[in-house]
Amino acid sequence: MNRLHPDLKRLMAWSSRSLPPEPDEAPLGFAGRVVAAWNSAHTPSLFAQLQRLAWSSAWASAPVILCGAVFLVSQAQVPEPVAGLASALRFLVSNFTQ
Amino acid sequence: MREQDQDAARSLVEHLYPTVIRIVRRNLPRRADEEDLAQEIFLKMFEKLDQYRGGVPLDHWVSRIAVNHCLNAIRAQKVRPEWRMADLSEEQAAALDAVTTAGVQEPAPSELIGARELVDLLLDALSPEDRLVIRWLEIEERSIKEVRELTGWPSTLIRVRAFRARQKLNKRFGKLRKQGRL
Repeated sequence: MNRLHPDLKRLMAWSSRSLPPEPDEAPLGFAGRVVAAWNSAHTPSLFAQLQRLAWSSAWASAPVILCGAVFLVSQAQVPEPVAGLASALRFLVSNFTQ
Repeated sequence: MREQDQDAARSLVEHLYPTVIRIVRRNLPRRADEEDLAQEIFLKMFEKLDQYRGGVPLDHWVSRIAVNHCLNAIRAQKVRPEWRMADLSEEQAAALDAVTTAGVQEPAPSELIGARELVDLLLDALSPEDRLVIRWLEIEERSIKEVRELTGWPSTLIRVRAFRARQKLNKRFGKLRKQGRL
């Protein structure tokens, strides 16, 4: 392993002596600023919030729409009580037109 | 913290601040504000926190983020123009004189400042990675194992970088001495 020139090594030792003391703790308010910066960087924009709202509404309404569609389809398959309705109409016409 | 606990986040920043600021101060790009750089490192740490698997101690993991961030910031700077002996300040020239004079044991405060500036000038000739290795091994007198833990670089790479950096620094220092009054 090579080594530094002794004078250069001494220069480096001197240089470390003029370094400012290491801080033991963060400056007042530093941690709060970091957390606030993190929060603001990760708060969604209004557009993103609206987009999320639209998607969640779509997902929430999907089961309602699906149930409605199933109900309509099942209704369409039930035979219409045509004969019963016609006699009821005739009864109403004959009784209420007199 | 992963549940967005603000108090835990603040405590984490306060706990890791000395580790981060030590790295930032040793590897501060010129004209960069140390607190700004430290804040960027903490934001990067929060961003990557989900990737932390506990394989290494948290402060080592964070120090690697800090090292990489500082190295990228230094790389993004323009290279300092070549300096010459004539460019040395009075303190730097005095420090060079004192360090090469055998009898001087206790340098003056101004010589200590000159020594630090001179070392910074000499280290500027190295790549950011080599500079970091020299700072930790030669100035802070850390072991290869410690540098490996703090950077995540393999020992062989650290040794190679240190060898290359020492060679370059000795050459530069020799040139500096010859150009001076010695």
